[in-house]
Amino acid sequence: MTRLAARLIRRRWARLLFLSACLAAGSAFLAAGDILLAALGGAVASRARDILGADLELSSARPFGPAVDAALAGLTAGGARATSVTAFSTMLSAEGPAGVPRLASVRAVEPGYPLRGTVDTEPPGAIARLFTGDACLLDAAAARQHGAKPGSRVRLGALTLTVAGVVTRESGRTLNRFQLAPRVYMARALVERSGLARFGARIKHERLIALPPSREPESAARAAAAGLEARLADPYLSVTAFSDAEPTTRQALGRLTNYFTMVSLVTFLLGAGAMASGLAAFLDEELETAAVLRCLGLTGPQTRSLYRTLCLFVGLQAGVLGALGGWALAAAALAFLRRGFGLELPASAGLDPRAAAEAVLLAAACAWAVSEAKVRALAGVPPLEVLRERAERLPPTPRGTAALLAAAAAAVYAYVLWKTSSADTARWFTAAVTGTSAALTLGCLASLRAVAAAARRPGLPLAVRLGLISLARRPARSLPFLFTLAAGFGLLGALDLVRHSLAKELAAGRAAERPELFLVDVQRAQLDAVRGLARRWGRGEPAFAPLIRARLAAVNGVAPARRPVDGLGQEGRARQRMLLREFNLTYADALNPSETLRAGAFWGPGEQAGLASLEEGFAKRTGLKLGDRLVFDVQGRPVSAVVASLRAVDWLAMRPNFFVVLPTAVLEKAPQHHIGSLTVRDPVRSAASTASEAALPRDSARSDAFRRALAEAAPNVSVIDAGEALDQVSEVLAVLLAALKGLAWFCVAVGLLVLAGALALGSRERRADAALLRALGAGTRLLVGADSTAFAAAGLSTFVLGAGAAYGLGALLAARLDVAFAPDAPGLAALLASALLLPPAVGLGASAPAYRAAPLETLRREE
Amino acid sequence: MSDALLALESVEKSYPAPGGALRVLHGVSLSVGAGQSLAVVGPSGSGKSTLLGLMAGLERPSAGRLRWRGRDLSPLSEDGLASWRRESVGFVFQSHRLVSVLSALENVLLPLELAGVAPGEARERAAAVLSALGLAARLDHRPSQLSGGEQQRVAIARAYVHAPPLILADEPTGALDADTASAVLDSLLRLNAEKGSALVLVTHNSEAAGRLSRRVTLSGGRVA
Ligand SMILES: Nc1ncnc2c1ncn2[C@@H]1O[C@H](COP(=O)(O)OP(=O)(O)OP(=O)(O)O)[C@@H](O)[C@H]1O
Ligand SMILES: [Mg+2]
Repeated sequence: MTRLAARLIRRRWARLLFLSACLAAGSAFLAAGDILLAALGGAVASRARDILGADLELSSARPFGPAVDAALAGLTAGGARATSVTAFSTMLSAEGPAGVPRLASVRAVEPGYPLRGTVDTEPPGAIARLFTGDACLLDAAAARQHGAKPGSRVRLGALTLTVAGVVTRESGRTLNRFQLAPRVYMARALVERSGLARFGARIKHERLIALPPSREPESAARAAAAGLEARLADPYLSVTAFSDAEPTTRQALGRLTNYFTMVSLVTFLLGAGAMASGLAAFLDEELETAAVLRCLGLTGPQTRSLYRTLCLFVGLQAGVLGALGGWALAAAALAFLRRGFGLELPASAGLDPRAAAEAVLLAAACAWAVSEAKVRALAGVPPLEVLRERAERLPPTPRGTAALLAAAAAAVYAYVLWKTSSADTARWFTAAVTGTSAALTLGCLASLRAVAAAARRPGLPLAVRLGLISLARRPARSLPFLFTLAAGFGLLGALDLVRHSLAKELAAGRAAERPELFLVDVQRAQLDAVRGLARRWGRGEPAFAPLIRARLAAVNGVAPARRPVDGLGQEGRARQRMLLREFNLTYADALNPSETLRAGAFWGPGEQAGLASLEEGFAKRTGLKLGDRLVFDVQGRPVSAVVASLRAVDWLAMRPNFFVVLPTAVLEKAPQHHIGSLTVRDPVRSAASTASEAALPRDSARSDAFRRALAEAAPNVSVIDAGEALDQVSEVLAVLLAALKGLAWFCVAVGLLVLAGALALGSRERRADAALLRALGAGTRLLVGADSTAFAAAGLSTFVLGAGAAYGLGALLAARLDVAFAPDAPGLAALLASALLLPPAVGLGASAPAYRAAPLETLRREE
Repeated sequence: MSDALLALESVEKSYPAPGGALRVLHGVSLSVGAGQSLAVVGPSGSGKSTLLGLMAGLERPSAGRLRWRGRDLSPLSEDGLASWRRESVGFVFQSHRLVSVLSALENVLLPLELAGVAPGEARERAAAVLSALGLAARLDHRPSQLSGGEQQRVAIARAYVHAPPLILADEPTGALDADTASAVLDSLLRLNAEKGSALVLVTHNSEAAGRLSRRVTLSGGRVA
């Protein structure tokens, strides 16, 4: 038996290898994703301690009270070390009249910082000199902005500091390279004298704790965090164990996991589909061999296990190829991320045995699943039927197919759930895949009917009629052929549409009329003066809005509770984070131009009732709905509000906007400061430059003058340059878009394989038909004409179905990724034009030898 | 020899084979006159099918030449051979070889359509030929829905529906019962007699061979 199987495999190796390749591409993609995400996750986990600079962090917007000191005393008695950090953002400028104030993120630290990781400086060891005089450390970006080097002097609030050194590397920080403001270190003892720590300033008070050495530092940190939290029970205090730090990085990683899992799974499914139809065709052609073997005494079960072995071989081969390919792909992607993002990642991914085993098992299971019904049918056909040429192909297996599709849907759901630990994503994805597949199947059936109808029209040239008939009357071949083509091109189109939408959203963010400077921490008393300066130096009317810090104390009478994150899915964690953290409220009695009402009603001027309007994305993520009764804790005072409306916000308008808005009368008296936005750019120049996506020129003399005047009048007010921030964002997005493009190209490669597989499906029959027609006296023109017609009809239906699938999937995917769907019809048409041209080109190429050869040669070969 | 319809002059055929070239036909010379009927007999493997394939231009000889009404066929391209075949030859394969996606009627229509016969007339002729072979009720059936003998009869109808001057048939009655076989042979011979189509028939049946005007015996790739 095994000998026989081995002999069959040897005879058919090219064919089987090709079938394996169809699946291997998708399998490589899956494996690469696994390896890559494990490497990224590992990097985040291993640096989390360095990023936090400690094992535990206590943070609060308020100074710590004695309860915290008492709790920490307990820990330090047990061998822990603690240090305090005060963190805030403020304006920093080089000393002298030429200095331009720019936003910096200040970390005021004590000796002994950091507790974990290192801060490397040039000259080395400069961090110690922070505590010997009025000194500071600048990171490389700050040094560049202010033209500072060791020995230079800079101004920060009321202080003038000497630059003791430049930070060359902070362990952990490379994973989170993109920050709004460059970092500055100074001694915590100087905060008081800087005059920046007054009320309303956005100060973060931190206590960092390094626990005594432990064999399981993660769980020790979590346990300590939970203990502190229970003991302090202070809602304004947040306690973070390093293992839960970097929520945004983790969230980004989670998103990446979702996206990658979905795209690679679709690729895998596409390859699996191609392999399935290839295997079915292969088993069809084995009918005669199997019949002969049966006549020679092979039993039904023996035949079954013989062909099952062959199919498993295809799967195992695909898995091994996929694991190797995935490893290579992951290594390439890691190199790309290291260069593109400057991330500190392992230089090469190991060939993770778990990922490899997973790939091989998955591929083998898949090959078994798609072929089992056919294998059973093959072993079940009475051999005499075959030999008397009554049965030329396997009987259809509707029940096997239905079972397979149901199992596939369940497997897809389980796989996505396993990989993303998000039931919502798994549900969404399974629904999207099955829905699209069903729609595409119906579309393919409809187009086959249309082809059959067209073939019946009288007066058609013979070649055209023969071509249409060959497509319409072999549904078992044509249906998978059309389906794989349409699905492949549809997926490609969808990825491209999403990429285009992202790029467009980015370009919109650079449009000329957007404000470019943000003002933060404007105190009430400073508002008029700052507004005056903004009017004087800016263009058009600056926008200001009050900002009030608050927490959600209750939702429908229940206080949001903190639950251990382990039990929560991705969405659950995000939701908990949003509900528990302190966030910003504003008050207004009308929508601003960048807001649109989506549900409910917005109140009018003078409203006294406790109402609230939520941004729709915020409502979705927190699970809050119209009519929910909320109680906000506004710095100790409860404020009740009922959700009365949902709003959409165009965040890229760069106006001050908020998740939650309450009526003016309700919040007017609360402690608050203001934020504002204004435009300084020259409108003529910037309008000209919107056409190109190049960085917009900023009217820097004007904005520098404004910064200096503002620093004079209101030194505590921070200026955030949104243009600069957007440049950074666009840098990230450019890399992301390049990655998406790479992904799309990979899909093209898979698509080509699938196309080749689909074409190979019918090529035997097409060649035999051509030789036969030739024997009856048909010329090359007729043969080429017939095949061209068939491929052109296939191409046309791929074009139409692919475009539909691309739009549908693209819109779904964009909605899922929170990207405004901006379909790019010409781009999609150009991409799909290849769907029109590729099948005829490849198909005619494959049949070309049959057109040229003497007919008997071909007929004998196809025997 | 100028009155010969098809003449073979010292035709050889060899195939590449594992142990060097395998010579199947050794210098066969043979001519078929217009209206003649010729039986080709010989043991299995003696080269009968190969000879018939060469005569239909489905393959080219390794050496020697074929003449059609005195004209050398060897310079013709594959397309040239195909169009010659369209007008001049009807062929019945040893295994029937129908186009699987076409119905019985459509298979028989093919030679007429290729010759550019008007659709209405083509349909009539094809249906008439099939009915004469007892397939009136099977016109719209696909080959997979027909029995082996029925398929063979469709293949025969396809070979002579356009009344070509030369019909080549490779054991056309092998799969048929005695009655049907003789009916098929009758209709081939009737065509031969009425329309003057020359007939070359490969057969193992010496009774059938006896009904034809000439007999050629192949043995080991030579005319015996
Ligand atoms: N393409 C080929 N390559 C190699 N050998 C071939 C090829 N075609 C035919 N032969 C050989 O040529 C010889 C003659 O074959 P052919 O089919 O002409 O025999 P035949 O007289 O028709 O036999 P049968 O009565 O069994 O049909 C056989 O020995 C066969 O093996
Ligand atoms: Mg033969």
